[in-house]
Amino acid sequence: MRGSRALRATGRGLRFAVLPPLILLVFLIALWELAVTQEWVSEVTLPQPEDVVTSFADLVTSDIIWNDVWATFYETVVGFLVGAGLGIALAIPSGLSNTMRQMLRPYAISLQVTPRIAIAPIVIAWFGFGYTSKIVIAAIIAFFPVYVNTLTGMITVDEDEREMFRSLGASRAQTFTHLMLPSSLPVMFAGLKTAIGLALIGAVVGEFISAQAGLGLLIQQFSYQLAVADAFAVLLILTLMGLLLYGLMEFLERITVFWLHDSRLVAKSRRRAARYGDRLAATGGPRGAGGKQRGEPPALEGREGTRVYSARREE
Amino acid sequence: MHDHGPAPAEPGGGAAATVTDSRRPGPASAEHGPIIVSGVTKEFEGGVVALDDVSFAAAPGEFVSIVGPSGCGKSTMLRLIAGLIPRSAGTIAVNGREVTKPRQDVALMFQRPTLLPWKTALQNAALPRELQGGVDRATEREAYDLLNLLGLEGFEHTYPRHLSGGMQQRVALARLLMVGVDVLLLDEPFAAVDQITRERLNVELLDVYERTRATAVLVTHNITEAVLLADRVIVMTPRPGRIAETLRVPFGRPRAPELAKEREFQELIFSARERLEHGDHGEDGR
Repeated sequence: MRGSRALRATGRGLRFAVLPPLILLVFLIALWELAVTQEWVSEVTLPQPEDVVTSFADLVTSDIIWNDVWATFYETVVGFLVGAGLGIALAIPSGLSNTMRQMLRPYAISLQVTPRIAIAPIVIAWFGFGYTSKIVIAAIIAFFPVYVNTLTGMITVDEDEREMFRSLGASRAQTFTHLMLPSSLPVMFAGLKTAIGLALIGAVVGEFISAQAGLGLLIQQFSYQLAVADAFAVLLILTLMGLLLYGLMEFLERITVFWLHDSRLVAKSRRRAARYGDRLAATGGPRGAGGKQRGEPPALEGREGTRVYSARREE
Repeated sequence: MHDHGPAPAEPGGGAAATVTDSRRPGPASAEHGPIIVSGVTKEFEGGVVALDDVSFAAAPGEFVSIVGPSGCGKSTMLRLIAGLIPRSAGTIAVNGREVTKPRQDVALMFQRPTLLPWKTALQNAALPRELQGGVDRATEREAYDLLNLLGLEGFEHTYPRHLSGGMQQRVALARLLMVGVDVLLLDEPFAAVDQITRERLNVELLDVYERTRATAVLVTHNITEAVLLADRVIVMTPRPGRIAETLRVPFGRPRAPELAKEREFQELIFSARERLEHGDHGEDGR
């Protein structure tokens, strides 16, 4: 019963999330169609929607495209992993140590204000025409948002919670693993979501400059040949790839930062309750599998509680 | 003194065992938990004197309330006792040892619940033990029973986001008790919840204190709350924070909230208020 309610809620959410953008899409395509048929725009500049669809269908059914799709996907994902990994790896010591933060600060800012794409030709010169150069470019531009967001998350931990940890005598390592790291996850994920899109940009720009394979190379070739419909079809593939990657990050975020998502919280609560009940049953606890039997007199429970929590713990 | 408190028989245990005995085994147990504050001054950077030459003592098992208007340094006093901030002058000793840094034998409760959103009520309550080296099944059970005792039955596995403000503060209280110490420092623990919830939580705090008989220091600006819970009420004046008067609360224990309706109680509150308003010139009228 609960499941079906959840399903219905999801259905409602889906309809709400899908329907309005779909209406807009139909409207935009109609406008596009009209612009071409009424010759407001030349067909050489802007192909008809159905031409793009045909090109798209031809491309995805041909064998050659998948090599390019794979190249761009691979460069983006590996570049993202390297950039984000470095971002997190440097943000953690920066969040823990003021000296480290001050040391890296001017470089982080310089890297941010430099149009990082400008480094792409140099990277190609260093690393050649293969995958490596694109991975490096993608990593360089994906690094910054992850670094900054993770650092922000770590240094904006609630002051009361820090004080609570101190009063409990938590060590630095414990404060880091039990408080700072989980606290910074929501902001870190915002950075990761930005970074995955930037990594795709980096890979495509790298391919523009020089590449042996990839969707960026393909879109460039089609444009030179004035095969505009094909170029648009490749663009569509890139959009879908971007959406897929972004969706993957959203999915990971929902799993990792579960405490910001009500439905996940409810499900987790229920699972934990069930597991705890099983554990009580296994150890023969007086309360049994339900974990919450109502028959017990509260007075006894209270007294029992007193005995339990008042047992002095020797240091 | 606390040997005359309520002595519920341990279920299945020695009939004569008092609560005090069960929490402090050993012959020297009665010596645990005194707080001695003498000549403490706290000056913050920038020259603000929060506390000026404050001295008081709390006997083992005594409940002391500190009341005063905002800005009288009462929260600062607690943070000093907890060892969270350094003092400018004077000495503070807890359990016979000088306070120099946060200690494991002192537990502090904050105005806000400060629960970790990624942990269930049960996990939050068990946090002190987790930080002390891991949660075993017995600890889990303790936390479970405590949450039940504090009226959170059925919410043990709920995350803070889905708990009301009052419930969150109950979890924080359970976490405080899980520290399992002799000294409880309470910094306006229920300031963030509504009046009715606050009164109910005070009754629960009273109940918990009367069972455990830890030494407790409560900071509040609510005089009724201060008198209802405490054996002694310290009235402070602001800027710089000084002790204006110490009132002895003559009522025995266990206490019930109905006590607040009695005439003697009302008179005590009246004189405390009188004293507060007298020394209140420094209040900035916010």
